[in-house]
Amino acid sequence: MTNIILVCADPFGLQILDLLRDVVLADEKEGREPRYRMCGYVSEEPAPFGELPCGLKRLGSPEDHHAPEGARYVLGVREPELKRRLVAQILSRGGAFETVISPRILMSTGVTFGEGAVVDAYSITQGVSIGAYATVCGAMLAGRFKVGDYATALYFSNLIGEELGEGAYVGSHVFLPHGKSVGAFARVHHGAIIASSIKDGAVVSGIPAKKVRAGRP
Amino acid sequence: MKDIVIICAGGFGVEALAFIRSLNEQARKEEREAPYRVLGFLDDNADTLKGKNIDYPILGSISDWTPKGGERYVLGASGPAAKEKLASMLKARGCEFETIIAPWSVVAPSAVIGEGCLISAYRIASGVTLGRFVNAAGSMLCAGARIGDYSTVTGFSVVENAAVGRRVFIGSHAVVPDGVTVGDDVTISAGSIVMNDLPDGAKVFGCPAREF
Repeated sequence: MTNIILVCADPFGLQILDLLRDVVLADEKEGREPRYRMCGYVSEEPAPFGELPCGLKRLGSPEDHHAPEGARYVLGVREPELKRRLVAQILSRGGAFETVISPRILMSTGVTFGEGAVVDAYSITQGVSIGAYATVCGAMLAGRFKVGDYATALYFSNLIGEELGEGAYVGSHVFLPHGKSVGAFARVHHGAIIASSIKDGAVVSGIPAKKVRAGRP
Repeated sequence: MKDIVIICAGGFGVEALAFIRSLNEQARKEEREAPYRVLGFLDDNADTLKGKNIDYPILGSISDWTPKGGERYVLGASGPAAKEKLASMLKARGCEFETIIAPWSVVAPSAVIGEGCLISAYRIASGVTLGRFVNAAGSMLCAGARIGDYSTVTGFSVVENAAVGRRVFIGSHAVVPDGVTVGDDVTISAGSIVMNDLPDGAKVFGCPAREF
């Protein structure tokens, strides 16, 4: 059993906590020893979940907290820049990240995962590679798709193109067709349908996806 | 075991029957007592089930029905206005409503779900609050999502950490992002991506969602 510390910044962290509970429930159902034990969470803000109940203790900030011997960290953060900063802080303290994969995922063999990736369903087919510290929740990935380090892809998105660059952020319901890519640290708003590859750092929205001013997807 | 009467034998009523049968089936597999016994439907049109191959009767019309005592009711309507009308009318006659959660829905234990809801959502995360008589089908309700009474959230839609009012209809593949406030009696059409707060009574469509 591994002691787990959740790294979080906002209510999205609760969804990753749900995922961790789901992994433990699946272990219990199948008569295995539960693989995780939750120790608490770390966050820069004192109340990352606002009024929402969490049931976990805040251990402190990512830079300043006491971690039990052997504890591993799970990234409950979806903002790529923030992930990069928090991961650097925790690695510099000698911390290590756990890769978490939903027991409900529909997945073929031959999928590779980088350290600290967090992957909740929906489905992933053979040949897909997921980078380190990537966050994939409820999206479909197929073909030889490559998810870059620190990238994020959210619910009901269908990604069958080439690549999400390092730190790319893709909202819900995005379609990335064959032959197209999203550049490093680009942001694709919810519902965008990508007709041509997105350049590094671009912010796009709509059908077909066009450049817009920066803002949250 | 609870006796169940399903209000409305149309689309969502038949869906409700499927959820209840799946819950009973799951209990049977786990060697528990079946939680529900379905007595039948109430519908003002006695022919609603004709040709649908459903072996439960229509027990009577909604408008003339008096509760027998002991049975519980499931609201199988999906239109927000209809849900409010039927629920108020039947509650005034003493009907008590059951919330049904399909066994394939992944619902966080800390999510708050009101009476008379019908849930077959893909996921309901921790920190979600649903009012009374909410239908959530095949959708993703993210941490912090708040959905008001009589609202309906349909397949593949996503509600992030946002506040949705009463009697709101959210069509398939619509997205309500973080921090947005949606008023009462709003219709969000299929595929709409909401970008701004929506006032009471708004009807929106498109990406980004605009009033029509």
